[in-house]
Amino acid sequence: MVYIKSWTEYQAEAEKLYEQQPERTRYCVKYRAADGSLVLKVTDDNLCLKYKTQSSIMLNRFEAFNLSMMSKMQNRRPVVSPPPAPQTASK
Amino acid sequence: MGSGKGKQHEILDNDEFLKSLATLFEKTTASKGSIWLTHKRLTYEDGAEPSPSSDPSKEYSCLLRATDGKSQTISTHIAPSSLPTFQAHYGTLLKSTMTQTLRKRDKKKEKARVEAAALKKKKIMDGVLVEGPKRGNGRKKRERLQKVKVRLDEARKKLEEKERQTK
Repeated sequence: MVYIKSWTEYQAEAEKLYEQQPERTRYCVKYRAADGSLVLKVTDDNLCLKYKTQSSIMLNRFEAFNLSMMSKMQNRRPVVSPPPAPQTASK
Repeated sequence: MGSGKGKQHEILDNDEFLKSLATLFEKTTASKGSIWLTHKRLTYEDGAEPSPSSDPSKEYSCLLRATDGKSQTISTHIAPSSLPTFQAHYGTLLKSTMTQTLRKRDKKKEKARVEAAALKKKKIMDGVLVEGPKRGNGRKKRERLQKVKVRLDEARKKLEEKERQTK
């Protein structure tokens, strides 16, 4: 379990890990109100990356990261429609 | 896993999920309890076989699960088309709950921490001077200093290795 200290590094590594294994990678968040701590975990069950924070300044970045991860998971890319096949049957 | 505690697992639609998540946050706030959120790509759909290769042009739903670790689990599927709207609500919900308890970095504490780390580093880099009588009174003290010196030397080597690797 690797705790990464820098946010930019964590984000880069997490996205890279996801790109490599989109089917197996999962992104987990643990929020403890009692400790006021937020832990992010991205793992493909082979390599695990974690990031811990207690600062609320991180929240915007956290939300942006959420968005980017979820978009990746959905693989939102417009499906390229194949060129229309030549009509064999005449109308 | 024994389900004697009566674990609840519900699959909800997006709006229901957000409402339940808000309730979940309220319940586990303040004194104790954690909330786990898991996001994953949905490759299983109603018992269908997961495709081995991820088709680059295919779009998937996103599975989002939330639990309080004890008895309640809620989950939802997010379709690609509903991602932006869901994201907006989801993000706002997370931010508003978490900003209440996550703290803005205490400048004094951070400064103290940085200073302590710098002091430690200085100690390692400077090393310790072993001196004192080798026999008689003060011998133990000298031996203690020798041990500290060995420890600091190793720490210094490790630090220099680390710095060399990162350069």
